[in-house]
Amino acid sequence: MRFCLFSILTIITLLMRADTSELVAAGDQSGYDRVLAPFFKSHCNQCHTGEKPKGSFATDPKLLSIDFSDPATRSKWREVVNVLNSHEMPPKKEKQPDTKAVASVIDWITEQAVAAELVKRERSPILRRLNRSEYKNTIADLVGVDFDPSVFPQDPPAAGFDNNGGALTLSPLHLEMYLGAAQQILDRALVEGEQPKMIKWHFEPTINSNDRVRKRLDPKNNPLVNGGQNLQEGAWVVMHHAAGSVHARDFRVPTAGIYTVRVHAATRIPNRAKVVETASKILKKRQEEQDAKQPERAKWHLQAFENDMKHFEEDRRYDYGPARIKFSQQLGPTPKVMAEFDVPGSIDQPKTHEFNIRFTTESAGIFFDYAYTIPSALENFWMQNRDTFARPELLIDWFEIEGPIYESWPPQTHSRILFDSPNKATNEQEYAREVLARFMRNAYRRPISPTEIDAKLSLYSSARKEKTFIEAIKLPLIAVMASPNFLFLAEPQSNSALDKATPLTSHQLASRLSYFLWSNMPDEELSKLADSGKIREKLILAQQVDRMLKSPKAEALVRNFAGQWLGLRDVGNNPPASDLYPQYDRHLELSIVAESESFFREILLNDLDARNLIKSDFVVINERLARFYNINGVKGDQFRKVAVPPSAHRGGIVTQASILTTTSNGTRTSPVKRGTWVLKNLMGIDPGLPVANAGEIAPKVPGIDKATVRKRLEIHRQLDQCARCHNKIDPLGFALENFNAAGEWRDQEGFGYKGRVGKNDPVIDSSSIMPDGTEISGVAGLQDAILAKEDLFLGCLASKLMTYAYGRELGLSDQPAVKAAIADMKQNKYTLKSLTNFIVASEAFATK
Amino acid sequence: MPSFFHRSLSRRHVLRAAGAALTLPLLEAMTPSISAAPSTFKPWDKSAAPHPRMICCYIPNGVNIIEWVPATSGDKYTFSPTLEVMKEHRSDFTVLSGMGHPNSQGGHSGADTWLTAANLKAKPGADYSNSISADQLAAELHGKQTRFPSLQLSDMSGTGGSGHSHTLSFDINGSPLPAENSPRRLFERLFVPDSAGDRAATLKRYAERKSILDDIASESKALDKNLGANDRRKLDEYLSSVRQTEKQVGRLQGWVDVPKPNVPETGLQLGSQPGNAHDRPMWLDVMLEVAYLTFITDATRVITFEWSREAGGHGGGGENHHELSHHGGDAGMLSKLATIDKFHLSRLARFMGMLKSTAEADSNMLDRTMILYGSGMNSGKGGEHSPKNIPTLMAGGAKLGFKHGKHLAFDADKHPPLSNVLLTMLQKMGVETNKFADATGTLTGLV
Repeated sequence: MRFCLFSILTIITLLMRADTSELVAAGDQSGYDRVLAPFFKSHCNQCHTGEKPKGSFATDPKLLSIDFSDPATRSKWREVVNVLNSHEMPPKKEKQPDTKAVASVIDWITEQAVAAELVKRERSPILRRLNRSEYKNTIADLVGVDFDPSVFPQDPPAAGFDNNGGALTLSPLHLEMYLGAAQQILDRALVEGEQPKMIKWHFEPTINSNDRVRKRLDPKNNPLVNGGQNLQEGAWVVMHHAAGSVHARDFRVPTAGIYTVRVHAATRIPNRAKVVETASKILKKRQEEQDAKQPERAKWHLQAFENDMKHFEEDRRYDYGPARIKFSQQLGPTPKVMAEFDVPGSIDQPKTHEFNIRFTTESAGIFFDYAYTIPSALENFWMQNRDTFARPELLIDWFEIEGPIYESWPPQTHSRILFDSPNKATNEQEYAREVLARFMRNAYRRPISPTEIDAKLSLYSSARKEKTFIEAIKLPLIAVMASPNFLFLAEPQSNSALDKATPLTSHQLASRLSYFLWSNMPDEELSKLADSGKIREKLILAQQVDRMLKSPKAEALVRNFAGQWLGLRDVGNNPPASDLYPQYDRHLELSIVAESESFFREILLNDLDARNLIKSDFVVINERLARFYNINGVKGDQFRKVAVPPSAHRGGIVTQASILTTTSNGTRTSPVKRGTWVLKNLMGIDPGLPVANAGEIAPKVPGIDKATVRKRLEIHRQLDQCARCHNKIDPLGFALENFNAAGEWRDQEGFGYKGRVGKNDPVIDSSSIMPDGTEISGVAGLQDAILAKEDLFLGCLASKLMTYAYGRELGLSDQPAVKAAIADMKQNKYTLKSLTNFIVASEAFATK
Repeated sequence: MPSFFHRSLSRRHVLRAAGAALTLPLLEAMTPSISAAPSTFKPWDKSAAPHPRMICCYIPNGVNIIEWVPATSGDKYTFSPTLEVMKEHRSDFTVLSGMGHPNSQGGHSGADTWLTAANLKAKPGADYSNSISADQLAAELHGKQTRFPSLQLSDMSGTGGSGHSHTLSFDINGSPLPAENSPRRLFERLFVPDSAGDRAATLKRYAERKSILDDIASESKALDKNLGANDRRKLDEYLSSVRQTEKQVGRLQGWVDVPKPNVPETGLQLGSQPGNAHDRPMWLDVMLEVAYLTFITDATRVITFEWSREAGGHGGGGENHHELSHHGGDAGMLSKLATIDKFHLSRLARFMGMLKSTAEADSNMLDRTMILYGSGMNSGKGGEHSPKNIPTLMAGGAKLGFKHGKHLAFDADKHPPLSNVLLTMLQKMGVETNKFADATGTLTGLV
């Protein structure tokens, strides 16, 4: 580990020292002369001086200054520490320095770097803008409107997370969008006049091929209603495969708002016997036709028949689940998928599925598509769309739209902002002040001063001269929603405290806490605790963590923290090629992301040992994944914990298809990516970027007929410039070679047509060596080896969660806290909650 | 099974029977597939008025440089295999080889500096610092006369991270200007009239917006007093955005009497998605079509367009462009790379064709539209990702003084900085300057 040789004591001493600025400003010349100069002279200067120093690294003080306040300089020094720590330098054949000398060099460098971080106040997050998901959640709580921020520019991640204050920029385009969004959100939230009349439109689609069937709803609306190119059984449209959607289109709802869409649907799931029976009929017919054409080849036709039948008899993909619906809404020209889900319920027990979605008055449509995929394989894809072949069928008899729905009138979004008050009817100006005071208190997440309210009130007053009350009050409300106090987690300090670490106010602390665990503003309880100052009490803080993690809002931590830590947002960016990995379909893709999220949630919410993330005797899966992982007895689309034996080869993050596919490259596995992933995300070791000119691994190797990916990488590593890093990286990936690029288990690497495994194809070699020389075998070996170094994993996990919680990159000065977090977890059953508690109680979390 | 009965012979069955005939051999997903439906968009007959314009088109990950650089130079040069695609436009573009930005870091930070020529590590105390991009200097001048000073297009929206920029444009402070990747949103911003009714109401809306901007500006000044240095830098970004938005509102007030140009949606596949392998070619085409419409209606004269972000890229049909750029000299991968290069050039050629077919004053639109096309890195002969000898084409602008139809070959170790090309473009846009970044002058031979 990178920091193993650092004297943690040095850092702690520094952290406790009141003023370090002198030390940095001057640069510690005397220390340099005493420690560094002699070391460089005896061990480095021979190669690293002159016109062309080796590796373009020069020890000349003019080129390697001791001004640690410059990040470029600091990163050069960091490299010195790295090569010394890893024993890369001095080269093995040269005279080796004694450990003490190395230690004092590293201590000196560390001390300088930490001091610089402290002076530059890098231990504090930089004024942090709400990212897209925080904005969405905050609006939902502040106003009650479900706003889709995907129109905003993507937020760039730094150090792995998109909540890094330094990286979250703000441009004029952002501001324009914030202003537009605020207007839109308030237009939706605040209402005038009577509750709009509701409509209820009921559709009973039938199949038709001319697409001209319309249903007259009212004088303005005469939409097309179509059951697609499907089959009809009485009132039911039967969808056997994707052959046109059941839909209604070309209508406009009378008022924009939330509408309920219902669909009445059922499923018919054929069993294996039916699959075999229908396949046999089709294949038999093919065989007969072939025989008629080429009687001399009858023997081969029979063999083909038998081979293909074996596929239909044995392959797990025919253990069908229920049919699936894809429900989309089209507004204006753009259709958008609103939901994809399994349809449980036989035709005797059909179910009504209900969705509340927003319609505007644009020309609209709603569509229901058949979305069950049978993974295509060469044996079956030509016949799986034949009506005579048994596959799950989706049955729909009606659907309807009803709305706009309001839980009350005026709706909550309205009365939350424009609440009842004695002044409402009698003193409009005073009422406007009350409205603004309450809204600003919530939006700014802290108490508001009267001058702040006055400024906003004057916006209202001048607008009120020409506008209705509601239109006039929108102006200051928009200003609030575009102000820096709302858009940023602003943590102003009193003027005198700006250049040293000071405790946050209790409201600032409440905000940090709620954006950490909920990606959202503090709720009423947190706000009250902030008002009373009680939130600073350790016990209260721990109680709040407990409460907050139990809340559904903690899903944000799963999505945003685990999702980014594990790279789940990358799933599907470069998916396994469909011809090579036919098992990988849309439903699977959704499922593998949900699996990793559910797995993390399971461990978080049930206070399980965090080491389960490395290796567990359970998985958290749905029916689709059970089929994919070859695990029996799981029915239904919901994710649940399932115990698995070691022979299943599943359990732990590295066995999950999400990670296994994102670390592959679509056509083959990439042990390099997998090794790097494990190093970076589970062991906290950054192997660095590839050197320029490293080149790509050869797709084919002359002289070797079936060169496995492993073999090709081994050849690559014979180059010196590659070996240095790849000796560390690749072996970790080799241990995972039993999982193919889609995450399926395999015993051989396939070299047949489209990657099929032939009898003589090479057996996977998953034996490997850890960076410290431990010999391991396969995924279980890798998991055990990581667990044997549990401090690396725990430290990595702690660093990631701290980075996310603090909203900044960690520096050397955070290392003592990471160490302490490891120790703390060990004393507290290794739970994620104990780590969370440790972080929110840490000094860095509570100071600015 | 009940569904075996109740059947009617529908169109589906007929189609399916036809489909059965074309079974197995269709799939060859490993090579770039360029099979999407061609666009039905028709270029217009003539443009409204002649103006100088520029568009900078960026392709990531370099090209197959072996098949790209012509073997001979001068005006009698012979096409390289890749450049064959541009045959019909030979007299309208120049091949520039051997050039590069001397300060460029190489690797995948090319898009960050392609139009700025900055040394990203130059500023002491900052991990990353960029400077104004050439297009923004042109936008400063021409933005006074068009509804939009400039447009930023990309296959990923936003700015991207430092060193992996999704945008080619950087403002006067070196801050990235976020890009748009949705043809639909772009079209709406440019051509769909703002909803608010009459003139008075629109002006009222602008006045209100100004009062809001005033208010939040003074609020942020109050906040600023109690922030540390790092926070203050971040808040400056906010304040400068407020000021620029104020300026933009001021500009819009000037445009209130000018309706947005009336452009029909006909033939534009505005729903195309940049990240969708099937949509990819359509998306590139429709973005260029909207760029064309923007120019023809004079909505802006300055566009930057990052076709794919660095270290990513979808090629023509979802291939892993980045992976292929690490070809290590492998012939198979190089040939796939060349296929992507040709695909990209075919889209460029189509765009040039649209401009050329549109009459403008005494010639056609292409003759007043400068197109800079290229990558910020060279994937090299062995996949080395070098900042030297980056693939560059300069096209169009004959009426502005460009002399095309040749290959200007420079020594990769001793060449004028690429900024000289950018300075040449700026001058031809009418920007009165002799300086841009590290330029030593305009590029001899280009004009």
